[in-house]
Amino acid sequence: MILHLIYKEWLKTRWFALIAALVGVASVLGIVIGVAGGVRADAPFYFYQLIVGKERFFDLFRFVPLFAAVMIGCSQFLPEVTDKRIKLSLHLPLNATAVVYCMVFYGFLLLLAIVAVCLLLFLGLGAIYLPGEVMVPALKTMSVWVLGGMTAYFWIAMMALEPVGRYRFGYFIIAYLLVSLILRRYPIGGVDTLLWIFAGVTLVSSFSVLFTAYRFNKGIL
Amino acid sequence: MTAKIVRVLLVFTTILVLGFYLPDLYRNRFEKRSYKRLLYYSEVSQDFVFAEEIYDSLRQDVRMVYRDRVGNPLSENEYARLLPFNNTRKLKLLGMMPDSVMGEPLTQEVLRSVRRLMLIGDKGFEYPLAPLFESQPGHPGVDLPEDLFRIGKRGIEFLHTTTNRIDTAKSRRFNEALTRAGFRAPARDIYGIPSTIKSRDDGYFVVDASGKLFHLLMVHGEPRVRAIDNDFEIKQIKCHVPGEIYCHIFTPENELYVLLTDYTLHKLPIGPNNGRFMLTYNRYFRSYKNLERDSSVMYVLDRDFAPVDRCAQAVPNYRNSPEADFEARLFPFRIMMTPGVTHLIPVPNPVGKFWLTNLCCVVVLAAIRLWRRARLYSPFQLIDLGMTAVFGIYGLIASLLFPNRF
Repeated sequence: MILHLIYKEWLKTRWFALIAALVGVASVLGIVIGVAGGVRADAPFYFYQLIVGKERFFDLFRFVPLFAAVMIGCSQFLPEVTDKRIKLSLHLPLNATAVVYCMVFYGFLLLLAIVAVCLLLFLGLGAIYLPGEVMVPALKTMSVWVLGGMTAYFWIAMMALEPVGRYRFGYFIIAYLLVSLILRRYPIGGVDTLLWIFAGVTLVSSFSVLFTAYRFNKGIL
Repeated sequence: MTAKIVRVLLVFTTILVLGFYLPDLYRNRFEKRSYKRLLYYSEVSQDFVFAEEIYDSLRQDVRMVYRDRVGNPLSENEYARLLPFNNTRKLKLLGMMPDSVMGEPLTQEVLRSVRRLMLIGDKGFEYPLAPLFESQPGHPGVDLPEDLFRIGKRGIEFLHTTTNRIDTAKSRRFNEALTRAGFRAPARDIYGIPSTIKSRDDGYFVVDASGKLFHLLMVHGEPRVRAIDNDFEIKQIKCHVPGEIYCHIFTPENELYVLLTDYTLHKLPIGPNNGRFMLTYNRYFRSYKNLERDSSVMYVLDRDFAPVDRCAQAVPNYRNSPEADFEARLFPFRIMMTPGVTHLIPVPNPVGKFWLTNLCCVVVLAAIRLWRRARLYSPFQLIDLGMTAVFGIYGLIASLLFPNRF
């Protein structure tokens, strides 16, 4: 039955996930083309800008995880809650928590797959032109944005399942503040401690859907 | 049960988010600009002079007042005459430039000897890659090299920027020179001025694996390495543009050393400090102004770094304002974000200030819950009340945002 549930999620999200993946790949290609162009035009000057000017050459990726999270989250949960179709899933002969978590875990894996493809592509192509000393700090800063995307996805799932509009609005405000904090333009190489803090926030957020799913299932207003 | 535990975690996360945003929102709305208080050392009177912004209620405007060390008021022009290095253009226009300072004619060369810069003892992020410029290119300025260097476990490596490959021949030459000088790879830190906007290159100062300091230069394409006899730990080095000083060196305790171009090291007679200095030096004096949050302390040294004078001055700070006092009464803590290497640091306020607000928040939350006919003594209601008692206004908002009805 879990497999059927996953197939249902796949049917809902596949095109949106594909769009998100294409946008992600396009952004990474855009970054690499920019780097390649800079290196071919005047490599010493381009590296001078990167190293001395601390130019954030990977900024194009900043909102990609958030975009993917919104695409997957909305395509997955909006159809379920607009007609309260999720009630059908929650009445399957399965534990309600298992059903909701199955959906969320599926969405999380899909999001993870998209950003993993983007980051691997960035790593593979970027390493042709840039040394590890530049790539590693860049990847760390990008990882913070990935955590921002994941947090956004979990809060979207949580908000979607909240049965009361005014609470949903409250969650939206907190989610907005939290995600904007994570998606700030942090200085390159200055995010080592933040990574752990935001990983903790993302972990806590991953459980958040249990709270609203319980309220939704019980019909608590 | 699980949903209730998750709710507590969400409330706690919300408290942290509010702790970051709400105090900032309050400060943006209520923080007033502090009036300036400036402290300088006059080369003319060889004493301190002060400038201070005050609010003139008659003109309903802010104006500057000037005075000397003992408190005698000075006119704006008298003040400017005491500081010829700071007010060169104005004094020349008014024809008030002193003829001499300390018995020496005040020539253009003397006036140009002044330098002003910030010395910060905290580390920021720097890439472990830098361009090693040719130090004697045969013309003023520097040329950007085709490669970058790094000093890892394999020693120094020059990385060609176009091909992203290592120049093994050059790397070997420089490695041999470093090894001969007693350098032990990998480098702990590399300091220098990688900018091209300088009249001459003075190379890099490299701390090796054992904490020893080395000066690395490239002269006519060949390495020149000099070991510097440092018997102290190095936390940070601030290099300077070409002049008589190579760099200032901070120890982990914020003791300050200066390295001159003749490789002599001087420990500066400067007391406990926070590692943030405004340095001004000219032909006669070197003044190190330590910028604390609500005071500044200026140490004046002579050319040989011997102490001449010292003066401390209180500086207006938001922390001492009524708005800050109200903020401390309103919020139990705030989370601040450090610049540079980013950390989120919780800054708690004294309990004695915010306990009343927290108590009011607990009463409000209990009243709302009673009005909604909740059982206050249930464990999760008690947790809400407890979090509100500790986190005050943040706890109240967060508890109300996440309904506690199951």
